[in-house]
Amino acid sequence: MDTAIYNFLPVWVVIFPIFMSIVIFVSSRRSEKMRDGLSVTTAVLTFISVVAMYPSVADGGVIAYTIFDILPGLGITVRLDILSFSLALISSFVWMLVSIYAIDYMSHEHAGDRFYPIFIFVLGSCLGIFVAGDFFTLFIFFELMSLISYVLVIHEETREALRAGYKYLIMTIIGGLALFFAIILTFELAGSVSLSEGTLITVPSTMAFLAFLNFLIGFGMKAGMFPLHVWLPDAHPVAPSPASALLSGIMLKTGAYGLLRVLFTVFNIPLVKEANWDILLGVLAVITIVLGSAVALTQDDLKRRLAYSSVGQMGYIIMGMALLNEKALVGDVFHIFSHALMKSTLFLAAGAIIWKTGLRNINDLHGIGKKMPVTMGAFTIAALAMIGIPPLNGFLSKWTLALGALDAGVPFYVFILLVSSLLNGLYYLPIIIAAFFGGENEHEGEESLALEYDDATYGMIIPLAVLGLSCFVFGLMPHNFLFELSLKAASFLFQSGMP
Amino acid sequence: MILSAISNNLAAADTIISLRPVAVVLFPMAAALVVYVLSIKNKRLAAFFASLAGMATFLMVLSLYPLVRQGVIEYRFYELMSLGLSFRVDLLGFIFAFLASLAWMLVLIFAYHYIRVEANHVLYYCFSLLTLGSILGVFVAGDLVTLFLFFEMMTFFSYVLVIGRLNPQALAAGKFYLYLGVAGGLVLLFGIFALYSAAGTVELTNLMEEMERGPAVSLLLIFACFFVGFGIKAGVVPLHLWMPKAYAAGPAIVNALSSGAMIKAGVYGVIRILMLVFTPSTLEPGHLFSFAVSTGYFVMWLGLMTMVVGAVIALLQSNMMKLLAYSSISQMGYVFTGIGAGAFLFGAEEAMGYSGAVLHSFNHTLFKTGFFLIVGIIYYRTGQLEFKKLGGLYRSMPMLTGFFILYVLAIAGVPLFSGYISKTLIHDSLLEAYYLHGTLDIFLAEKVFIVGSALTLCYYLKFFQQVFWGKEPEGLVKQSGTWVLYAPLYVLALFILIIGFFPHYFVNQFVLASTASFVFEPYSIEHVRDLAYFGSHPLAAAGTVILLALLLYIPLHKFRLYEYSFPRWVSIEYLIFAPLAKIVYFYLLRSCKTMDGGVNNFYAEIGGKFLQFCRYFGSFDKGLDDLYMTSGSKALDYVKKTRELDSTLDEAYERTGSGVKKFADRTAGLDRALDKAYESTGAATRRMTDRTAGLDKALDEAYEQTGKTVKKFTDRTGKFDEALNKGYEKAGSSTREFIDKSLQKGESTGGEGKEEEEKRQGARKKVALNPMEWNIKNLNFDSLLLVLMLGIIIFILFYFARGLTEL
Repeated sequence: MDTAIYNFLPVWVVIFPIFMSIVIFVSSRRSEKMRDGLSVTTAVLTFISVVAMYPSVADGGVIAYTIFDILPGLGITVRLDILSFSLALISSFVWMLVSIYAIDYMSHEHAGDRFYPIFIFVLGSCLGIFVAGDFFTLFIFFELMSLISYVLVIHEETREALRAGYKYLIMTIIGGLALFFAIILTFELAGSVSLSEGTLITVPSTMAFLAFLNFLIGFGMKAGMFPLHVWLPDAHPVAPSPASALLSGIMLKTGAYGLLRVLFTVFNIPLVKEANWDILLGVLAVITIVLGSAVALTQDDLKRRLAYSSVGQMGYIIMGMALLNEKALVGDVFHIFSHALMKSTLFLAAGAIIWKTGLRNINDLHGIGKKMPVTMGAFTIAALAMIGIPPLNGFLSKWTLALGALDAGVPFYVFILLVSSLLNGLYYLPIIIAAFFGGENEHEGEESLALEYDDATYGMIIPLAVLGLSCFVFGLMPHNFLFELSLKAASFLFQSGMP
Repeated sequence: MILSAISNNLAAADTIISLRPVAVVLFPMAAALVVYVLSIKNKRLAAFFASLAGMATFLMVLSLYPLVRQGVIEYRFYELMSLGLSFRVDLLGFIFAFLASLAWMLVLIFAYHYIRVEANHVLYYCFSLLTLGSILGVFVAGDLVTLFLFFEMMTFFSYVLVIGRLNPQALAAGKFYLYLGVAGGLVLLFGIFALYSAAGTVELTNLMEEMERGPAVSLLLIFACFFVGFGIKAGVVPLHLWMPKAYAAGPAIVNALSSGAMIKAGVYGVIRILMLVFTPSTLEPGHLFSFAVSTGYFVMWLGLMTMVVGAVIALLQSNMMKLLAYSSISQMGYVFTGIGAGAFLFGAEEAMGYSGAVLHSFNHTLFKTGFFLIVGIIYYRTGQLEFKKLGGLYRSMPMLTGFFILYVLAIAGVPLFSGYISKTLIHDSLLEAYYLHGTLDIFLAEKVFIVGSALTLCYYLKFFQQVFWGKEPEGLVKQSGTWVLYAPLYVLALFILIIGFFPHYFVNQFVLASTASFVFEPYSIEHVRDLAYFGSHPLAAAGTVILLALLLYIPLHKFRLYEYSFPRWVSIEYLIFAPLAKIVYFYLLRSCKTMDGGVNNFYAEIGGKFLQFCRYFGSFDKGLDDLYMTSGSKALDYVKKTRELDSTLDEAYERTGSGVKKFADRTAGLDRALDKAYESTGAATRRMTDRTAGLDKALDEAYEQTGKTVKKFTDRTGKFDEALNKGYEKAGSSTREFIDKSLQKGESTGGEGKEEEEKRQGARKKVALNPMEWNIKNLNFDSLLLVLMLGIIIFILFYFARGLTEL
C-alpha cells in the first residue's frame, strides 16, 4: 500500500463512522434491517481499517501530521503510535462484536433509530481520541464522545436513567472543564500541547502541579478514579447492555489512555517521581481498588455489581501507572485489554439474562446456568478471569502488574491486588455457583423458576462466546498478539517517559 | 544408582524430554469430556468408561516409572502463559502421582456400584476425572507457576465434587471450601510473586541464596505464604476447618478422593517448599541454614499439635465421616511432624524425617481410602452414618470387619503393617533430634507423639465398638454388597501388607531414591537404608503406644467420655475465625460503603449548596426583575395616562377645531354677505361721491376766502403770545434756584441707608438664579450627559414596560 493511504487511515477510521452515523440515521427511516446491517457493516469495516494500520506502527513507527492550524502551535493533528493503535484495536474489536449483539438486543428496545447512529458516532469519536496528535484534538473528541454517549446512558428514559444521566452529564462537564484548564496551563507552560514533541514540562512548579491535578480530574473522572467515580455505578447499569458493555469496557479506557499520555508525554518519569505525584496516584488507586471491590460485594443488582467491579479494575490500571516502571506498564496496558474483554463479556452476559428473563437481582439467578449454558459459560470464564485464576487473561495481567509492583519495591500493592482478587472471588463466585448449582431445592415453587426459557439468540451468544474465549486464549498464550502489543506499547511509553 | 544420585544432586540427574507427563494430565480431562458425551445416551456406559479411564490413567502414570528411574522427565511449553508451562517429574512427584492415580482408580471402580445411592452421576464422573487431571498436574509440575495453575484448577474442580449432592448442607460446606481454597490460592500466589521477584525464577530448586540476593522481601513472609497456601489444602490446624464440614456433606467416594489424594497435594507442596526451595544449596551453617532449621522446628510442633488436636476431636465425634475427617487431620499431623523433624535435622538425619513423611503420606492414602470405602459400603448397605444407629455389623459383614481391623492395625502402627514403618521413621527422627539437641522440648515432642499415636488407636477402637461390635439394630442392613465394592479393599490391603513385610525394599527403592532431588547428607540416607525396623527399640515404642491406648480406652469407654461434646463456642472457628471474618467484613465493607456513600453525598451536598447559591442569586435576580417590572408598569401607567390626556386634548382640539371651522364657515358666509353688501354699498357710495364732489368744489371756493381772513387774525394773536412767554420764563428761573438749595440740605442727612440697600441687592443677585434665565445656552456637558442617561433609562423603562405588558 501507498504511504499516503497509511497516512490517511487514522483520519479515515474517525471520519468513516461519523459519516456513516448520518447514513444510518437516514436509512433508519427506510427500514430497520438496513439500519442494523449498516451499523454492523460500519463497525466491521472500521475494525478492518484499524487492523490495516498495524504495519505502519508495528516496528515502532509513528504517523504524525497536522491537518490544519487554528493558532500557531494549536491545531487539528493526527498521531498514530503503537499505544494509540493498541487502544484503537481493542475498541473497534469490542465495538464490532457489540454491534452484532446489539441487533437482537435492541429489537426489544424502543428508539433504535436514535440508538444506532449515536452508537456508531461514539465509535468514531472514541477512535478520534486515540488517533489525536495533540491534547487539543484529543480534548475535542473526548468531549464529543462523553457528551454524545449521554444519549446512550439515558436511552431507557426511565426516571432512574434520567437521574443517572444528569449526574453523568454534570460530572462529564466538570471533568471536561478541568481538562480544558489543564490543556491551557500546559500550553502556557510549554508552548505546545502536541504529543509528538517529547516531554512538554520538565520542571516541577505550582503551575505544573495544577496542570497535573486538572489532568487527573479530567481523565480520572472518565476512568472512574476515586473520588470521581460516583457517576459510574449509576450510569453504567441503567444504559442498555450493549452500551454498558462499551461504557465500561472501552470508554473508561479513554481516561486511562489520557492519563498514560499525561504521565509519559506531558511530564516524564523523573519529574513525576521528584514531585511525588506517583504517591498521590498510588494512594488514589489503592482506595479505588479496595472501595470498588468492597462495595461491589454489597450490591444486589447484577449490573450495578459489575459497575462497581469496573471501578476496582480501573484502580488496577491506575496503580500500574503509578508504579512507573516498564514491567508494570506491560501489565497496565495488558490489563486495559483484559478488562475490556472481561467486562464487556460480563455486561453482555448480564444483558442476555435481562433480555431473556428480565431478572436483574442476583438472588433470582438460581439455576440460570442450566437454561442459558453459553451465556453463563462466558460469564463464568470472564468472572474467573476477573478473580485472576490461571490460565485466563486476568491472571496474566495481575501477574505482570504484581511483578511490576515488586520491582518498584512496593509489596503492599501486591497485597492489595490479592485482597481485591479475594473480594472479586467473593462477589463473582456466588453468582456462578447459584447459576449452575443453585438447586431447585432452595427456590422451589418460585416464579423465576417457573419461567421456561432457553439460551439467548445466536446473534447474542456468538459475540459472547467470542469474547469469553478471547479471555481464555489471550491468557494461555503468552506470545499472543495482545501481549506482544502490550510489551511494545509499554516499552514505547517508557522510552518516551524517560528524558 | 542410588549412590550416584546421592553424590550428584539434581542438576546432574539425567533429563529426559518427554510429553508423557502432559499426556497424564490431559488424558483424564479429555476422558471427562467423553464421559459427558456418553452420559447423554447411556449413564451406565459413561460410568463404566470413567472407571476404565481411571485405570488407564493409573497405567499411564505407572508407565512413567522406567523413565523416572533413569532421570527426570521434563517438558516445557514456552508458548503458554507468561512464563511458560513446565512439567518435570522426579521420583517424589512420581510417588505422589502414583498414590493419587491409585486412589482414583480404586474409588472410580468402587463408585461404579456405589453411585446408585447418590444423585448427579454425571457431575461426579466428569469432575472427578477433571480433578484427577489437575492433581496429577500438581505432581508433575516443573515450576511453581505451573503447580499453582493446577492447584487452583484442582480447587475449583473439586469444589464441584464437594457440592455434588447439591443440598443446602453441601452447598454451604462447598462455599466454605471454595472461599478458603481461593483465599489460600491467593496467599500462595502472593508467595509466588514475592519469590519470583526476589529470586527471579520459579523453578523448584534451592532458591534461598537467590532470594537473599534479590529485593528484600522477608524470607519468613514468603515462607509463611507458601505454608498457609499449601497448609489449607493439607488441613493443618488451625487451617483445617473446611475438612469436617466438607466431609460431613460429601459422599464417601468424594471424601476418599479428597482424603486419600487431594490433601496430599498440600503435603507435596510443603515438602517441596520446606525441604527444597527454602533450603540452602549447601548444608553449611549460616543464617540461611538456621532459618531452614527453625522453620523445621516450627513445622514439627505444628504437626504435633495437629496430630493431638485432630485425634482428640476425632475421639468425640458421633458421625463416621466426621471421625474420619478429623482422623485425616490428625494423620496429616504425623506427616508434618516428619517433614518438620526432617528440616529441623538439616545437616544431620534429615532423610529420616523426610522418608517418614513421604511414606506416611503414601500409607495414609492406603488406609484412609480404605476407611472411607468401608464407610461407603456401610452407607450403601444401611443408609446410616451415625454411630448411634449402627452396631453389631461383624455378623452381617464379617469380611468388612476383617478389612477394618487390618486397616486399624496399619494406622495404629502395629508391626508388620505399613503404618508401623512410617511411624517408626518419624518417631526415630524425633529421637534423633533429641539425641542431637538433648533439650526438654524435643523430649516432650517425642512424648506427645506417643500420646497422639495412642489416641489414634483409641478412636478407632471406639469406631470398632460402636459400629461392628454390640447388638445390631433391627432391619439395619437393607442391601447386599457386590464384589466390585470389595475389590478395591483387597488392593489396598495388599499394599499395606507388602510395605509392612518388606519395608527395606520399599523404602530404599522408592522413598530414599526420591531424595536425589534434594540436598541431603549422604550418611543420613545410608542410615535410613540400614535402619532396623524390627529392632527392639521401635518394637518397644509400638508396644508402648498400644498399651497406652488400651489404658486410655478403658476409662473412656467405661465413663462414656467419648460421647462428650464440646460446646460450640470452644472451637477455633467460633473463637477466632468467625469473629475475625466478621470484623474484617464489617470494617472493610462498612467503611468502603460509607466512603462511597460519603463521596456521593459530598457531591450531592456541594451540588445542593451550589443550587442554593444559585437560588439566592435567582431571587436577587427576581428582585431586580420585579423592580424593573414595577417601575416599568408604573411608567406604563404614566404613559397611559399621558396618552389619555393627550387623546382628550386631542379631542378637545379636534372639537374646538371643528367648532372653529364651523365658526369660520359661518364667518365666511357672513363675509361673503358683507362683501356683497359692501359691493352694493360701494356702488351707491360712488354715485353719492360723484354728487358730493360737485358740492365740494363750491364749498372749496367759499372756504378759501374765509381762510384768508382768519390768517390775518392769527398773525395778530401770535405777537401777543410772545410777549406773555417772556414774562413766564423770568418767574420760573427764580423758583428753580430756591429748590436746589433746599435739596442739598436733605442729601447730607440720608446717605448711609442708601448704601446698605445697594449691597443687599447685589448678594441677592448672586444667590438666586432667576428661573427665567434658564435656557439651552446655560446647560454644560455634564448635565447634558445626565439628561441623556435619564432619557435612555426612561426609554428603556418604557420599552421594557411595553415589552412586559406584551408578554
